[in-house]
Amino acid sequence: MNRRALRYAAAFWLAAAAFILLDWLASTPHNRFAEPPPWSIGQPANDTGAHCAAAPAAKK
Amino acid sequence: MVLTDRRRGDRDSTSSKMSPVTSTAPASTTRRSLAPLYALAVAAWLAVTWTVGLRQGALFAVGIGFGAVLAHYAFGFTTGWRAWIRDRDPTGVLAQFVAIGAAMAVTIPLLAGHEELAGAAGPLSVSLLIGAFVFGAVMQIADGCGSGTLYKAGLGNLFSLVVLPGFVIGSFFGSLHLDWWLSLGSLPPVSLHDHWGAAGAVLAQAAVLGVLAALFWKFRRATDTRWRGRAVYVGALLLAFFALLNLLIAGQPWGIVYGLGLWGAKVATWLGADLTANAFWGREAQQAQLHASLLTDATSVTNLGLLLGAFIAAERIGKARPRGMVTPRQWVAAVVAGLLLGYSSRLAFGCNVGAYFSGIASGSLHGWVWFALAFAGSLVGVRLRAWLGLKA
Repeated sequence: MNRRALRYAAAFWLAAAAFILLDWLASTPHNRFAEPPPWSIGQPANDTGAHCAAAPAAKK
Repeated sequence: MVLTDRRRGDRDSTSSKMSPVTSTAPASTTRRSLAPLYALAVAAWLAVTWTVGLRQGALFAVGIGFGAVLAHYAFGFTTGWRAWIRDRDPTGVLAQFVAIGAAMAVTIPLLAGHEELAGAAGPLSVSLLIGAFVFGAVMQIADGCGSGTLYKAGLGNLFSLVVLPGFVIGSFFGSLHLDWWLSLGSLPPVSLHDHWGAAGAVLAQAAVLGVLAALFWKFRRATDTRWRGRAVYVGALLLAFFALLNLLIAGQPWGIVYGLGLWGAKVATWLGADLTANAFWGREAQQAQLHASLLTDATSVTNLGLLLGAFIAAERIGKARPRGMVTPRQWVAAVVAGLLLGYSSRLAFGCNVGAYFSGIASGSLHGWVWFALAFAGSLVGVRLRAWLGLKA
């Protein structure tokens, strides 16, 4: 076992968990009972713009 | 300058010589030591599903699948290109073509027949040309693309741990400046299936992939390939399978970089930045995403799953927690490389995953442009890597 890398990995995962927790606490409360269906196909499309290919809004 | 940690825990380096790598630990020991990790994965999946919903839980599981496949089969985008450029070993590139070909054969017909599904179609812009070239060069120095950097950081690879924050910051600033870059010149996205139909687009792209594969094969050299047997092709097909699941569940193809930029944008807003006037983050959908938990974002949740899946798979085959030291020069190289990777991937509308894999699989012309420019960049990057003295 490489103890140094284990410490690095542990620090990374702790930081990631803390980031997720802080973000959860700082975010708009999520209504898990208003969740969409488990799949998108066959469901109404919703524009999240949440993909790497998303472009900025066109200038008016 | 030698990155001494590359012997273990690095699918984009020498560890992939034994693909898939088998564990040297006794099976009983491996099972026992992995039990807490399996339990952690199940607990994390339950937590995401319970707190956010079934869709995000399913995407988290898909992310675990991505990470496990990448780590177990040593499937690397960066290494695949470098192995051909340096050694004329076509195996890695051919495996990528198999993954992309299998994904596009299903993705394009689905996109053509279902308006509710969105493809990875980016604009054809000056920023794409510059961003893809720079990304292709820098990913060879960083020894990892978006997915590679992400999961190697999770393994405890010190170099990637330094690259990753830079990647996040660079991606955020790239998204901030994207409208300026687009003002330099941009054409709308082109989806080939809109012009040639689904069958035409699939056949045309398959023909191009076939010709390219033949060229890579023709100019190969008899060399000791780092990928043994057919395992990497099995991994390629599994990646395509998980990419299909990602599309069906999220309604959009697999991506990495958007999530990293979102994490940066969230930190910026916590520090008081007002992004409402920004062309990218000011959009209604982006503002909503900024104020919602990152667990509600499809890309972020698959990124987190990928991290966990890769860690478990690497631990299983004895590749996690790599040894390594980073010299001061390497610290500087890692910080600069991370910033450039993040910034350039936003200009290019994605990295190897969002633009190359998902772009071509979606029939988007920008995916092909990205591939051409990034490969040209890698030709430079491999030489830069040698010049910097980084381990081959």
